[in-house]
Amino acid sequence: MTSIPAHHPAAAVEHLRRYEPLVDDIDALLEACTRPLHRCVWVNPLLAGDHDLAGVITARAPGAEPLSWLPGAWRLPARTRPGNWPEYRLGWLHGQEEAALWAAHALDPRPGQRVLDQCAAPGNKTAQLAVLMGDRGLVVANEKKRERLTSLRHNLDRLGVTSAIVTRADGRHITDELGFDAVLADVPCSCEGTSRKPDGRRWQHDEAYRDSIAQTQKALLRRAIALTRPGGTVVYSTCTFAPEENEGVLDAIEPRDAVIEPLVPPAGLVTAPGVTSWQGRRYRPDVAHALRIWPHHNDTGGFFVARLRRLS
Amino acid sequence: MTEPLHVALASDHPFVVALHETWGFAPDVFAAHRFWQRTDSGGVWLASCDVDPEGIGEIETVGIAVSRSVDAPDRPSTGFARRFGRFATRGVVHVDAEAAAHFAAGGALPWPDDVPRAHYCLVAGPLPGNPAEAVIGRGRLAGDQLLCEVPKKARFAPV
Repeated sequence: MTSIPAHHPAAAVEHLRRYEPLVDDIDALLEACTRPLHRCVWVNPLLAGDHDLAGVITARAPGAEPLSWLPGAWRLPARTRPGNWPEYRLGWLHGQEEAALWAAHALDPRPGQRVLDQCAAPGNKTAQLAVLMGDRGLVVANEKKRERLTSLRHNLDRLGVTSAIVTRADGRHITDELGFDAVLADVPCSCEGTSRKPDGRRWQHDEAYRDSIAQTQKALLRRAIALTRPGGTVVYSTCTFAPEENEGVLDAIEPRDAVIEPLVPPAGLVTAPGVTSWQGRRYRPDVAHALRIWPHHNDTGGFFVARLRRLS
Repeated sequence: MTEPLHVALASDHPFVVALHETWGFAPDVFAAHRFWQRTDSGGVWLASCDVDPEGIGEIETVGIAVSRSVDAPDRPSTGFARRFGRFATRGVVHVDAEAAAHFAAGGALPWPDDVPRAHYCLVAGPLPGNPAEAVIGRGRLAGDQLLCEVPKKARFAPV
């Protein structure tokens, strides 16, 4: 398996040229991917309460700016280390990659609902779901890997989330008799969209890996749909660009089982539609309703989000 | 039939009653929540009242930890203290900014003369560089000292 260091510019550029047919400006994409990524934090209303943290954030991180498209979230300069701030340790703030923020919002969970986060660690999106639900209802935060449960439990505890149950199971084999109103399938992927992160994650993107992970992703999405009550919603998301892991996975879902719904991104977040064909293969037409977040459009990492509605 | 891993505690369970009495919580503070005891470890957890572990497999945790033991309502976890400590009307030691920063970094404080002695207390004070007051975590009486019982990962120093 080929692994390319995330911050090896030549290797990264060479690999990303694969996506030239999909993007509006390949040079802008490549240039964006060589720059360090901004940090991003959001205010946790469960613990911050009515405290106005704007002054504190801008004092601790000069140059910090509120995100125009998501109230309560802030973009910080790349070298900021918010994890050491008192407000962060107390759970008033939480850090998360900007491009990944919208997936939980796309699921649009409501207070009192039963919601599943199928691959939950480290719990960023689980916490978002709980906050969006006013910490009322149930979020089952599932994680397969025992070593990742620590970060999941720690984050939910630090953020004061009382509406979550943490479970350990392979997301492809979760059982549930009641059915979920909504399921977030934020699946493992080749992580190409995280290349700007400073923590040295590696891409794993040779063909064999892509084929293997795509099979896992299809199984996870099928299970997510099966666990959702008829009429319920599933959000499928990844942090990668590869159509094989995005639209190709959606294409594996039988149209009679789920439709892919149009998504309207919030004003200020630039997105591109899902691609309907790739390397000679045509996908089901409603994959165009999925949204891609390219790094050069919003100066973020990369992300992919699709919302499906279970039919039967 | 196997014993359930989590058992709900009724509102008149001795732990729940003692928790309210020790910290002076108003009766409705946990109206939207339920206390659960783990039958294997004995620890007590607090979850939204919509949460029901029945029928959910391979559970690791339910809500947030409250205490390691049903016998220790006076020894709340850091997560519980930080989420619900602001509603406590008893057993809270309010300190100034300098003392708060010292305690938040793991340091001990002299037990205040005007605070009744107890095994445990909650320590609250202004945050470094931020005038907002927060419950920092649990303190423990040892001699004349108020020791910091905040886990290292949850401590913080002035930025």
